[in-house]
This record gives sequence, C-alpha cells and structure tokens, in this order.
Amino acid sequence: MRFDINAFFGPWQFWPLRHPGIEDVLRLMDRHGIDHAAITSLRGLYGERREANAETLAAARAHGDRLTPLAVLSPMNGGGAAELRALAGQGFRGVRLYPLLHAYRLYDPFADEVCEAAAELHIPAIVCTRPMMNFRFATYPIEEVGALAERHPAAQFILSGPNYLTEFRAAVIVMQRCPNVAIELTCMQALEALRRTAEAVGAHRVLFGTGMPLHYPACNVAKLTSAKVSDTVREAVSAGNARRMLGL
Amino acid sequence: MVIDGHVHIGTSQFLQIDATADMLIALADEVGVDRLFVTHVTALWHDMREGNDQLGAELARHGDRLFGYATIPSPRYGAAAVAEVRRCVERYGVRGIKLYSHPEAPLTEAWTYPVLETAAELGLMVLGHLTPDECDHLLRRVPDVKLVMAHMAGQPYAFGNWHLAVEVAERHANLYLDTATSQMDDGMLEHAVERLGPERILFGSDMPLLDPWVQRAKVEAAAISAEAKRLILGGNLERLLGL
Repeated sequence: MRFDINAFFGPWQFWPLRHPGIEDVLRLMDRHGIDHAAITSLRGLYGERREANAETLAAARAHGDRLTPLAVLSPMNGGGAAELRALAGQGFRGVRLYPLLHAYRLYDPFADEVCEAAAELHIPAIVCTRPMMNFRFATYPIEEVGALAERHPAAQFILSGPNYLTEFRAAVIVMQRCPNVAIELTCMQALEALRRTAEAVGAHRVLFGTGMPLHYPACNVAKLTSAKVSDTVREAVSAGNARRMLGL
Repeated sequence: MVIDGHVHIGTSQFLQIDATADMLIALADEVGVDRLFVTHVTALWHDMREGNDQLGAELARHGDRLFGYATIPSPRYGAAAVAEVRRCVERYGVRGIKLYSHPEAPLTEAWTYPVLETAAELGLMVLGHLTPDECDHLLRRVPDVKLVMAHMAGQPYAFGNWHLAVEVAERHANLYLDTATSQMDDGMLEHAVERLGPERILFGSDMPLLDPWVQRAKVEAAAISAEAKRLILGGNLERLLGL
C-alpha cells in the first residue's frame, strides 16, 4: 500500500497546474499506485485557511476511502487551539503549519498553543519548511522545529520540506535529539534519501510524500521503489508510518 | 542509448560527494544509463589542472562509459583557462566544458567569452551552471556555442524559474536545457517540450549529489511522446556528440 502524506488540490497562483482538481489528483493517485492520500487545499497556503479547511473536508468526505483531511492553522483571525479542536471533531487527522507563509515563528505562543492541543487530540503537526521543492521559495530553519518539538514532547511532529546537504544534516540532528519528530521525503533529493534517512533516524519515522499535483508523483514513487531496504522498511515508509501517526 | 549529461566525480566537501568512476558506473548500471558525461569536482572547486588530470585517468580506464568535460573553475584564469581546455581536448579527448557561475565569480564577465569562443571553434558543448539571464547574455555575444543551461534554472541562483529558462531558450537556438535538478515541478518538461521541441532538452542526473532514479523518473513519467523521451534520455546527446 502507498499512503501519500503530502498531497494537495486547487489552483496554484504561480503557474497553472495540469492536475488541480480533486478528481485530477485521484487520477494521479491511480496512475502511480497511490492508494490513499492526506490532502490539503492549496488555498490554505497563501489564501484563507477557513475556506481552505472547508474545501479540504468536503473533498475528503466525498472520497473517504481514498483521502484523509489535513487542516491548516495560522494565528490570523484567532486561529488556535479551539479551532484545532473543532477541526479534529470534524474529522481532520493532522494540522499543517506554514510559519514562513503565515507571518509567525515557531517560538510564537500560537505554535505552542496549537502543539499542546495537537498532543491532546493525538494528531500530528506537520511543519512545512518550504511549500514545494522549487528554489524560488524560501525555507524555514529546521532548528526551530527542533526547539518546538523539545517544548512539546507529547506531540508528534512531521517535518515536511527538507532537501539535501545542510538541510538533511540539520533534520537528522533534530530528529536524533527529538524522538517525537518524523520526516516526510517529498523534497529530499539526495542520493538514496530513503535508506540514508531511515538508517539515520529509524524507518518508523520516515514517511512517503509526493507534493502532488505541484510535483511529479513519479519522482517520489521512484524513491520508494529504488530504495535498497527490506520489505518491512519499505512498507513502513510507504504507508504504515503515516497510518499510525494519523491514527487510522 | 541512455546518456546522463550531468555527472560529478571526485571528492568535494562543498557538495558532500565522494565518487569514483567505478561507483558511478555501478550506479549507472542499476539505473540503466549507458554513458556518463562527467565533470571533476576538484577542477570545479579547487585546481583545474589537478582535477582534469584525475578525470583524464578515469577516461583512459573507462573510455567505453565516460565522456569528459574539461572543467574550468573560473574564466578569470584567462589565457590559462583557454589553454587548459585545449590541453584537455588534445590529451584526454574531452567533448565538453563545464563552467559554474556564482556570485563570487559570475560568468557574465568578459573573461568567459574566449572560453566559449574556443568551445565553438573546437565543437565542444558547454555545460554551464547559469541562470537564464546569464545564458541570454552569453549567447548574444557568442551565438555559435552550444550552451547547456545546467538544471534548466532549477538551482538557487536562478530561483528555480524554469518558465524563464524555456523563454530564453526560445530566443537562442543553441541553448539546451539540462533536466538535472532537485525540482520536479509537475509540467516543467511538458512545458519545455511544447515550447522548444524535445531536441534541445538533455537528460542529466547530477549524481551522486542527486538521485538518478528520481531524475530518470521525471523524464519517464512526463506526458510527452516516447520519441521525445528517447531524444531527451540520450538521442539528443548522441546527435550532438556525433555518436
């Protein structure tokens, strides 16, 4: 089974996407052997989060056998723990944080409030250090994710966005220090990224993600299929870890 | 034939790579790549003669699998850079030149023109770590050189702008785009093929910095014709290298 922890839908303001709609994304999943995806409306990145979350929930409810909703929260207009509790009650299984896009830092009281609530609700906080693997987008310091995770040892974090070189090393250091941090591999482009990451931090903390429809899903499927790892490790990264962390 | 047009050999702390020819060829065998077009990181980041000589030794051992780039750390070496290119052609039979533009030594300086003119004279391709604007600048001054924009703008100095890479390539028939990049933006190859045709797009992996499996998947999964994939994965370099 393949479970994509990092899928989206909707228009992208920087260029027209070839597969923006939720039905397009489902077809992409079929084409690339992806059984299930955790999904978020792209409106939540640069637009209005409450509309985004409503769209995400509607899409996931329409395709409950294939899609799991992930919410977006930001401090604007009173976003915080109460909103996250309400979203979890509606069926959201995780919350995405985009500090770089939403004008806050991870030492902001907002982040602590959300993480406390996420821990209570047993849902992960997916911290996105870049919106996609394109060099036009700035990146958020991975070290601040580590500091947040250390303040909230009961919360589960998933790092989303690190690539190679300095970012890989920083991610590994943070994960070695913080057992409650996992990583999804969408943007990780280093040679044998899956095996190297799994060996560095444990396969139970590595997740498959594609970033579709922003990215070619085939690139991240290739990381899974080419990895020199055991079937047990491959299955954990492909789907098992995501299902466990999302409580499915 | 599948040809990877963008491969690094040698040891670099900057790129965090440590690659021998044997290691690269074993990896190429796994991925299904027949030939590798290789640049030496010692020549790129330290001493051009030392690195190019090390590459020359590997070309002698693996002439059936490797093509070489004469690598120039900076055209600011002036006449010595041009002489190094000629030396590498005569001594090692290299088929191209690798150049790297960065803020510390941008290739838009006039130092670069003689190197490109030499490439045009000798029929060498130039793989340049260049932004689209830099390519535009250089091809206005040396229009006869076959210039390959490494990463098709998918690198930090070019801000990942593959739309602009394609736009600039539309202006210059001698500008080629290299697919090696961390970026895997859905549609980037389809857009390039639609605007340029497949003949000016060259497969590269940037291995062992990047993962060749991922880089090959980007081409294989693109919604372009089988003939376009054949050209990108090797047919174009076969034609350009006269194989």
